Amino acid sequence: MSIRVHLVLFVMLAVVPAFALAWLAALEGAAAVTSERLRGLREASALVAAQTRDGEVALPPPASRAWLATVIGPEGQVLAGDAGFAESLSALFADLAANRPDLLRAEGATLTGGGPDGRSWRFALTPLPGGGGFFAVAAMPEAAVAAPLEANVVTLLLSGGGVLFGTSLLIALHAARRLGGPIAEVERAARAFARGDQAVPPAGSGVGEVDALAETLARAAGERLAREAERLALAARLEMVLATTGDAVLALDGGGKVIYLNRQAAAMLPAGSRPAGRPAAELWPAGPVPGLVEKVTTAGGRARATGFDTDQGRWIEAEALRDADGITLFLRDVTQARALEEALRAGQARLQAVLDHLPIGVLLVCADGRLEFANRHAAELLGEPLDAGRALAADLRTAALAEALAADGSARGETWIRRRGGEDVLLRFAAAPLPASAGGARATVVAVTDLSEERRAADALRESELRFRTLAEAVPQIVWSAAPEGAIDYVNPRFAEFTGLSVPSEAAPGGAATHPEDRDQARAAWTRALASGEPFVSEYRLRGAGGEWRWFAAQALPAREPGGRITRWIGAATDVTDLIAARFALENQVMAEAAARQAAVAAAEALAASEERFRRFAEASPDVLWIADGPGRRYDYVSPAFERIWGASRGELLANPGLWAASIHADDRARVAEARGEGSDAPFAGFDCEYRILRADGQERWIREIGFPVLDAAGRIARRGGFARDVTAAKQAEERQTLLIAELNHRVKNTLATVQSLALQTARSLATPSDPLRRFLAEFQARLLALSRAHDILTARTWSGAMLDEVVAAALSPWRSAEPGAKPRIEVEGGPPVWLPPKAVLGLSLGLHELATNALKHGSLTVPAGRVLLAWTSEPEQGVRLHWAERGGPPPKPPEHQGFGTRLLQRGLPGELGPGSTVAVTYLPEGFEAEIRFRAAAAPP
Amino acid sequence: MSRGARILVVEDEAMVAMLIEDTLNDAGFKVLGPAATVAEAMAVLDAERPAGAVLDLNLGGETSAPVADRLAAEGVLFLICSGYGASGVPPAHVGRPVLPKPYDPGELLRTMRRLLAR
Repeated sequence: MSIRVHLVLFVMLAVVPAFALAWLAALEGAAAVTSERLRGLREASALVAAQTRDGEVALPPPASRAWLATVIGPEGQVLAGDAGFAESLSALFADLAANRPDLLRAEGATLTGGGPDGRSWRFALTPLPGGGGFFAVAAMPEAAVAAPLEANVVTLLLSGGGVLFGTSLLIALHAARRLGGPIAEVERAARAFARGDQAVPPAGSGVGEVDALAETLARAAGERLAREAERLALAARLEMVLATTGDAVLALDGGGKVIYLNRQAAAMLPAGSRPAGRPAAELWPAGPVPGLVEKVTTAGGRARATGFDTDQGRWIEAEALRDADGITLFLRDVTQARALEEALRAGQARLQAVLDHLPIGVLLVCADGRLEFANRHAAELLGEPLDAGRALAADLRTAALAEALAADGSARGETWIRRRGGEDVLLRFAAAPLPASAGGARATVVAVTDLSEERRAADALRESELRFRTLAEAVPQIVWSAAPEGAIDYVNPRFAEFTGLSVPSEAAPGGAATHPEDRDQARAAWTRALASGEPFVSEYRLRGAGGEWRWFAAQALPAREPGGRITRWIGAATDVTDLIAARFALENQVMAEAAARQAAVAAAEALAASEERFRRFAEASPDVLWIADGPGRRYDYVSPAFERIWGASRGELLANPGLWAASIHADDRARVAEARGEGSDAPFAGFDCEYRILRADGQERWIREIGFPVLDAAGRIARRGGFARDVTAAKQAEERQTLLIAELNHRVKNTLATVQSLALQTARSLATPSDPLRRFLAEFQARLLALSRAHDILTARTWSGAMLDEVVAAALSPWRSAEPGAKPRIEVEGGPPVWLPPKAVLGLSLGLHELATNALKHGSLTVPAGRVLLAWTSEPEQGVRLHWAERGGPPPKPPEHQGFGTRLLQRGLPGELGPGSTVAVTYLPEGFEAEIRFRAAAAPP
Repeated sequence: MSRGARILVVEDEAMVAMLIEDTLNDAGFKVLGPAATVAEAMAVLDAERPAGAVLDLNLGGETSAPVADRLAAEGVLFLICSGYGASGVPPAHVGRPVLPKPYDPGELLRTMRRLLAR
C-alpha cells in the first residue's frame, strides 16, 4: 500500500479515540445534570412530606416550581396536593402496591411511570412522618429530568472531530509530499539496478532514511559491478585450469546433461561424438558414471565411485558434486594406479605374513611415538591388540625405548613392561632407525623378545638351589650333593658336626670317616650307583669326633634333566644307631614276653591244679571254709560243710551273703558283729569268736568262727578267708563240765562247811568248853577256811590252776583285811606273774597260812610294830623263789618240837609244789625267814 | 549290836545250818528256822518279819531267789551264803553281802552286825 493509504489510516485511527473520549465526556455531563435534577425532585417530595399536616399541605405556587406534588394514602387515594395527575398516580401506585411493595417502603425512591400527559414522568416518594402508608409524591416529566444528550454529543463530535480531522489531513498531505517523492525515486533506481542497468541514486531528499537507502543502493550497484568483473576473470581462469588439468571435468545441468566439458573429457569420448546437451550417463554408460550421477542427483552433495569401464577397458574413478546449478563431474583414469596399488597391497600382505610369523615382536614407531605397525608376536608380548596409528601407551614407552626412539640411533636393552592384564614381562629390545622415506617423517623399527621365560627359569633354578641348601642345612641327617661322576660338591654342616671333618670329599660313602669293615662295601655300592644311575643304598658306621662309632643308613638319588641325563646326585645319611639298638631291644623284649607268656601259662596251669587241690581239700574238710571279697560283702567260695552245719544250700548263701549273719542267735549278734569289726573303719584284722546259730529247721548250734584277711602282693586286703566249726558238741560238753565243776565245787564247799560244823558240834557236845578246845577249834577253823579259800580260787579257774598273787592274797586275807586305812601287817611286795597248778595252789595256801599263823603266834606279828615282807622272784628254768621275811619282832627261836605247821612247811609243801622244790627256814636275829623255791607251771593260753 | 534280833536262816545242809545257828545264837541273836526249803522260809516270813536273814542260794537244787525277792520286798536286810561264790548271785541281788562257804564265824557275825546297824 502506498504511503497515502497508510496516512489515511493513521488519521482515522487518531480520530476514533478522540471521538470516543468526547462521547464519554458528554455522557458524563448529561448524567451529572440528570442526577442533580433527581435530587431536587426527592428534596421536593421530602419537603411536601414535611409540610403535610392533617391531610393538608401547603404547596408553593406551581409556577415557582418545576414539579408537581401530592399526598397519597395506603390505597393510592389522593389526599392532597396538585390535582391533575391523581389518576395516573393512582394507577401507578396500585400497580406498585400490588407488584413492588418494597419500592413503596424504600425511602428516597424514585419511580418512572406514566404521567397525566401520557408521557413518562419521574416520581419521588417520601413516606409521611407517622407512617401508615401515607406518602408525599413529587413528580416531573422525564424530559425535564433527563438532560438532552443528543444535542450535546452531536455538537461536541462535530466540533472536536472536525478539528482533529482537519489537522490530521494537513499532516498527511505534508508527509505524502515530503516522503513520497524521494521514495518513488529510490524505487526507480532499484528497479533499474535489478534490471542490471546502472542505477542512479536519487538526490538527497532530506529524509535521512531515504537517503541512507539510496546510498546503500548505490553501493550495491558498485559492488555488483566489481563482482561481475571478478566473475569474468574467474571464469577465464577456470577455463584455463580445466583445459590443463589431467582430470576430465564436466559440468552437467540439473538433469545430468552435459553443459560443458573440458579437453580431457572430450578425449575420453569416442571421436565424433557430440556431447553437448546429452546426458553424461549416456556418454559413458559402462562404468561408474551413470550410477554416480544418479546418486548425486537424488541424494545431492558429493560422491565418488570407482569402476571398470568395459567400453574403454579402463578403470575410471568418478567424482560428482551436486550444487544448485547442476552437477560437476570429474573423471580419472586410474587403471595404472590401481595396478600399482594392488601390487603394493600384495607386497604388504606378504610382508605382514612374514612379520606375523616371526617369533620376534616387531614394532614400527613413528617419530611422534605413534605406532605405525606391530606384528602379531609384538601384540602377544605386549598383551594387547595394537592398531596402527595409536600412540604407544606411556607404560610401553620405557625410558630406554623412548631414548632409543628419541635419539634416532640404534639402541639395545632390556626393560620391564606391564602388560594389559597386570603381569610384568621382561623384554629385550633392539631399535634401529629406518631410512627416512621420501617426504615422510622418520620412523624406528623395534624388535622385542620376551626375556621373562629365560629370567624365570634362571630365578627358579637359583631358588631351587637355595631351597635345597636351606633344607639340607636344617635337617638332622647328613646331606650331600655330588656331581654326576661322584665328586662331592656340597655337604651340609651335620657331617662336620658329627665327624669333625670339614673336607666335603670325605663325606663320600666309603670315605675316611667310614669304619674299615664297612668301607669296601660302601664304596662299591657308591661306584655301582654312579655307573648305573640306580639309587644308592648302604649302611655303614662313621666315626664321630669323639671317637665313637655310629651306624648310618645312607641313600642317594640322581637328579635328572628332562632328557634323562643325570645332573647331580643328592644323598642323605641318617643316624640309625638308636634305631638298631631299639630293634635289638625290641627283639629281646619279644623273647622276654614270649617267655613271660609261657610262664604265665605254666602259672595258670599250676593255679588250676592248686585250685583243684584246694577244692578237694575244702570239700573234704568237716569245717566250713569260706572265702569272701575284700570288704567281706560277698562270698566267693563256701565249702560243702556249710550245708551240713547250717542246713541251707551253698547257692543260697552265695546269692544272699546276709544269710550267715541272719542265722546268728539274736543275743550273740552284737558280740559277733563287734568281733568281726563290722561298723568299724579299722582295716579288717581277723576275728575269732563263738556264737550260736539258729538253723532253718529250728536247731541251735554253737559255731566257732575264725576269720582272717588275705593280703595281695602289695599288702592290701585282697580277700577274706575263714573257718567255721560246729562246736556244739564241744560247747555242750564244756557247759556240762562247767556245771559239773560248779556242782562239784559246791559239794566240796558244803563238805568243808560240814566238816567245820562237825568239828564245832563235836567240840560243843563235850561237856566243858576249855581253852585247848577253843584253841583247837580256832586253829582248825582257820586252816579249814584257808583251804576253802584256795578251793574258791581254783574253782573260779575251773581247777586249771591259779596265779601266785591270787593265792597269796586269798591265803593271807584274814591278816590283811583289818581296819580299813591301816597299813596291812603283811606287806606283799609281790613279784612277776607266776602260774601254779592246782596241787601247788592248795599246798601253798596252807603253807602261807601256817607261816602267817606262826608269825602271829610267835613271830613279828606278836608286836604291833612287827611286819612281814613277802616277795617272790623269777629264777632260771622257770624257777620261782618266794621269800618270807619277818621284821620288827622279837628275835625268833626255833621251836623245841616240830608242830604241824613246821611239818607241813618242811615236809608237805615241797611235795605239793612239785619236783625240785625246796623250803628253807632260817631263824635270823632280826626275824624269821622262809624261802620257798619251786618250778612254776606254764600258764594255760 | 541288837541282841536278841531275830534272824531267819535259810540253809539246806543240816551241819552247815547248825554251824550258823550256833554262831548266831552264841552271839546273842535269835535264829528263826533254819528253813531248808523255799516253802519253809516263806512260812516263817508269813508268820513274822525278821530283823535280818542269812540266805543260802542253793537249797538242795532249787534256788532261793524267791526268798531273796520276798526279803527284799519286805525290806529285810540279808546276807547271802553261797558255795558258788559271788558268781551265783541272782542279778537282782548283786550288791548284797556274800559270804562264801565254809563260813568264818567271825566274818559272819561282823557282817550281820554291820548289816543290822544300817
